Amino acid sequence: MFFYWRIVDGTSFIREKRIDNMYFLAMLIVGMLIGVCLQRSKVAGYDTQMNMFFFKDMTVIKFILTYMCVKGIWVYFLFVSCNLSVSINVVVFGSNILGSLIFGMGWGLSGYYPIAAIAALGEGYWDTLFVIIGGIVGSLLCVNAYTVLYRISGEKTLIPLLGKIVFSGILHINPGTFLGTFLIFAILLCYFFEKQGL
Amino acid sequence: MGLDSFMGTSKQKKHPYFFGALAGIITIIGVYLQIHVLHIDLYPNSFLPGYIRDIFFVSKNIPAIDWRVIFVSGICIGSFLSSKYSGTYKSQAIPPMWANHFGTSKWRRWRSAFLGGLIMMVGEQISGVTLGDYGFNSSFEFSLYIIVSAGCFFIGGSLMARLLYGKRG
Repeated sequence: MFFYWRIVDGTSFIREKRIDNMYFLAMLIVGMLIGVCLQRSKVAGYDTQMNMFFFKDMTVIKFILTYMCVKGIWVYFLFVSCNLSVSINVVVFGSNILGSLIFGMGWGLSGYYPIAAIAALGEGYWDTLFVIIGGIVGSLLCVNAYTVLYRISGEKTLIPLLGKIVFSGILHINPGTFLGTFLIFAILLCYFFEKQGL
Repeated sequence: MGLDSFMGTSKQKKHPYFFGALAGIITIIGVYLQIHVLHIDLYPNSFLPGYIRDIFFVSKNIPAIDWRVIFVSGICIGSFLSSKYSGTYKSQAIPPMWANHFGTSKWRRWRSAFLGGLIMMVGEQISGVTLGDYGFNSSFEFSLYIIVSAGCFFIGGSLMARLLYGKRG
């Protein structure tokens, strides 16, 4: 049994590439291990995520901060060792803030972050099925509304206010300093959570 | 020691730091697998020459069975096996916190879950923050928009949670 990967480049050139089953198996195992991590740290549960919004249980924040720190160190290592330039997405504050607020409200209503919803489904929370179905419907709606949004704003995003901005670019510091600051901030925040027993 | 100590059977213990770091390392391994097994260029203008560019932009526009589908299925399977092994698996249509506050009406919960999922994805499309940014895309640690978005996620979520459960939860 083989899967096919459809690849389209900027000029709409389509080609199909047969992927080795071993690759899919490897990605399945990687996904399973991430699923185990999400389940064992209990970040996927409805109660954990909702309690985060009431500042009662900060397990999710601790998990994400640790995850970001580990990956941040690795990316910085690539920056330094491989002379890497990372593609940063465009910051458009209007749509970023508006969209993120809407996303957050959806998160509060459903009680699951999308990836956590997948993990929670494995844990036996059947209501996440409706979160997933709702997500698919929402995506389809947006894809169809995209042309309307484009006509209103004239841009690819809804309210363009600022251009492409990297955090360290604003502060005129190098990525290493930014990462160091972020690490210290993350450690202090986690220390605060532990002190407060959150 | 061994698998039992790693998986654990306690229902109370949480190890967010350990498993967060482990998830980070597993993601790194996954990205290396992609680079070395499939030769996908995860980073445009990176040190790997001649590889496929903008694969993320491309793959999210076309419905196809790709590694993401397999990866997401893996998360579900892994979570299922882990909860089964540790004895924490519990099939429930309504989360306990919701049931305590809103009663045991399944349709009410499922309706809000559906609506929540829908609103989430609409917000995601407007903000332009893709799920990949928090996972396999490795530039988000240095990007302002992710930090702004994360703050707004929390504000929006807190607002909705308070609307649902009241000030105290």
